[in-house]
Amino acid sequence: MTRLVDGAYRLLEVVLVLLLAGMVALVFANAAARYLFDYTIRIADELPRFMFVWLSFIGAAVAHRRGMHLGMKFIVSAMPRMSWRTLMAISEFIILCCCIMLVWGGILAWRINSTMLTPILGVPLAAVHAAAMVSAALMAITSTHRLFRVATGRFEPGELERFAEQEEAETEPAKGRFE
Amino acid sequence: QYQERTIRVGSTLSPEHPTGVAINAMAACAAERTDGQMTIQGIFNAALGGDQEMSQAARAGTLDMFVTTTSPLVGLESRLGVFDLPFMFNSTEEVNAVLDGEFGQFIGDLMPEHDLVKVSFWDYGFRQLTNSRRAVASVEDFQGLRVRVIQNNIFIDAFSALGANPIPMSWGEVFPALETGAIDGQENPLLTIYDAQLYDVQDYLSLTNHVYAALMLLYSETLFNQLSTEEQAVVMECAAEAQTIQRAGMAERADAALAALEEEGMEIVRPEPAAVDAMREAMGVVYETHAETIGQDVIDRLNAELATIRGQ
Amino acid sequence: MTVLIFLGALCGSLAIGVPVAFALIVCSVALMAHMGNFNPQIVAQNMVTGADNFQLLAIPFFLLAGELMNAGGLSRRIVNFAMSFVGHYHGGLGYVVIFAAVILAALSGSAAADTAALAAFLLPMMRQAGYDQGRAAGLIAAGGIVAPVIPPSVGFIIFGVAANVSITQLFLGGIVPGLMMGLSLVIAWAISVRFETNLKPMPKASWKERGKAAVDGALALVMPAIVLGGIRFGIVTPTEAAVVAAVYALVIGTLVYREIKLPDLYRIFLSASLMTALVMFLIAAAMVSAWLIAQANIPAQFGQLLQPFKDNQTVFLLVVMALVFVVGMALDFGPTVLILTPILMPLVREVGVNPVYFGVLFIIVNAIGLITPPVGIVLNVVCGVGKVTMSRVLRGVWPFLLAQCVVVVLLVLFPDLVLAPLQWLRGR
Ligand code: NA
Ligand code: NA
Repeated sequence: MTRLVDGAYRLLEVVLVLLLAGMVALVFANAAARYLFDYTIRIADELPRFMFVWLSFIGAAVAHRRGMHLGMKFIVSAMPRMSWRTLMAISEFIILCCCIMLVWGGILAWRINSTMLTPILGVPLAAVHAAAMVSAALMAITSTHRLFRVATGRFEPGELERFAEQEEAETEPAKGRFE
Repeated sequence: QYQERTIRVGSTLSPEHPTGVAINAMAACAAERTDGQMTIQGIFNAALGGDQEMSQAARAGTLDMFVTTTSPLVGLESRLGVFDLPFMFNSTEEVNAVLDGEFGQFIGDLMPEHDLVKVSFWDYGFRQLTNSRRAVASVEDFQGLRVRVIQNNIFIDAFSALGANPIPMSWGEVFPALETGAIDGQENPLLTIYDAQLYDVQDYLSLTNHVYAALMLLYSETLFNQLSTEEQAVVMECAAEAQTIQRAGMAERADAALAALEEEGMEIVRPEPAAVDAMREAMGVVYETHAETIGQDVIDRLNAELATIRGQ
Repeated sequence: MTVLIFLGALCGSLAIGVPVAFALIVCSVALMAHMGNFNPQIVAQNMVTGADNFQLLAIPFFLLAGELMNAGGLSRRIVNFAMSFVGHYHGGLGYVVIFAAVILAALSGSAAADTAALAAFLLPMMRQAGYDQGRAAGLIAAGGIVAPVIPPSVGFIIFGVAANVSITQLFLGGIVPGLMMGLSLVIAWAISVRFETNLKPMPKASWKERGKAAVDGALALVMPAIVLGGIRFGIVTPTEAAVVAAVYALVIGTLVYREIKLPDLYRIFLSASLMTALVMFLIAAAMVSAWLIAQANIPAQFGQLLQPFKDNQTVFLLVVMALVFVVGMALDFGPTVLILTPILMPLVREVGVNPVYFGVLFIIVNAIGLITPPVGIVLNVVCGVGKVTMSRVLRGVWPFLLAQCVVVVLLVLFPDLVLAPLQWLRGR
């Protein structure tokens, strides 16, 4: 089961790489075409933007599984170690609620998003908004699984520490930092 | 009959724009008529997002009211594309007669299909072309001009047909792109051109009047139905009062803006009627391409109404 | 009251370990509940429209360019170039740090990535040459935070989009203040390095060696000209400049320097994608709270708190910058920018401060927040990469922190330091 999920996430990572490469290619081609041939690629505004939305949300789901989302860990790490498990449970539960709300909101808005077409490509806005729903659903699964582990105490090695402490920057210094 | 409630009105324009002034006038009117029970609060400068975002919020029932030009709603109601067809109207009087008449009624009646209620038609003005390359007075002058247009296929096709290179770009990028010369020109109503201080980065203003931009004040249907009949009447009547203020403000400010733009050193180009006819002729292919999506019946209907108004 | 609910929900959820993006959703929900219009569609719709913005596309492209530069050997060549010119002076490696930091800043938009590169190359050298570890690490940290001020800058992109201010003008406006930050570091370093007595001097490079370093690094050194020149002369928009930078770094790294191999490329693209996603998810969540901040009329309430300071622009700016500094101590750079921008911008416009000038100041103070405890990401990067303890870095960083605060005060007192060069760079 774990191997299946790992495989699925590796596939999502391939999707991320392809999306980024596609965005680079389209935007670069448009800039070059305008400069060299005075020609504008009509879809080079909308399509890269939509790929960007998908990249952002799918990436957020992958990042959530890796526990990469930025937090203010210094407060939790200052608290007694015995409280970490409870805090992790509450925090993960809040994330789960947020994700459920995102999916729920997306379902409620589905009708209005599928009847509004984008101005250039003419595809329903729902095709863009689905990204957030897919992402939130994936994150909800991740969080549920984590809550299950918190409840049963069967943590992955270092998982509780990762929740409570500032991740050491040694291995990949720039990961998740964009300042 | 009147409940204490706050009605939020979103707009991408500033509170100083005649539209903002009109929203505030509408608020004063509503407060007076309901003894302060009904608060209308304008939220300006796109703080609630662009036109498309606000329309989705209103449709979802999370925003009460908003003001938008018709173009961003074409993805929702393709028949609104009729307003984007170039060179349909000759004057503001013509426009107002159409919008306040049977055709305006017809357009307003389409809105409930999309969970919106048309409250009022306001005025955004005729769109004009500015650029930094040359005085554009005829079709030939459009050749090779890099013109920013709104993200709308009719606009892109129209400027392609005139020989320009249309570049769909979000408004936020336009001023710096004009400033650095990444693009040569853009098209917008006079007041917008003046308010955005485009005279600092543009030398030529051509009074092409190529497209009339109608503003629609729209209410979320879900939320409108939650108002009592009296409250609905207050909204509609105050909006009608505000319409007069908005249109008068636009007329006055547009004239002032034209004078100010000339004062700021822009060369004002007034294309000859024959040159405008040539531009209109070049639009043939655009009308043909988009007649299908807009609906030939809608175009015919507008033309028939215009013929009546023009006394033909 | 509304302000308190907003802050309470935000700080409360952050304190128990909820990631910032989700904490922003929590405080959005709190605001909705407070206003009596709870509707999950507000969250779902604004999350997506917040991310759906062409100008934000510059973020993945600049992040990708930065990754490609570090992996492709461009960053290393820039350090070598700086070394050959100023390495031999007393405290010379410190000047190399500042010099390289400024050039790297003109290539990349990310303080953490620049700091990591500087710390990895230069801190071991400084250790060998006998420099005080804390002071050296502090300087590297302070040098790293020039990155978001000198364009390109992810900070300016986020601020420009959130505040509806021209990113091009922010980029041009950041150049001189960024150079001033570098200069302030030179002065602070010159003073503090006098206390270092047992330094082993670096050998002085000959002009031939300097020429070789310059030729070797030339392709990397022309990158700022490509990015800024391309924007300034209207060849590209900032978003397109970012993609040009990425493609340029890709071509140089793979075909000319040949330091990036195909499997590396996959890793680099993935890493840039994930960083992008983290930033964008945060921005998306912040757009939800920004929408509700506007609906709840929070800027007006906040404006009343600042009412006594509104009459005088200088006083207003000093108070606001002090506030941003305090928030920036405890909150990351991105969240600070995203949370404060929608609240502050209506006030800034009301008081009549030039939005570009304000944006430059705001981003500098936020950048300084990267090297203030308790949450200072750049400090963590230096500690992690350079293997120095946090307490030593904190002891070493304060003179440089102080120097950069002096720059902020100067910019507040003399707005022309930002505005005059901006006018000149804009060519009018
Ligand atoms: Na930079
Ligand atoms: Na800090």
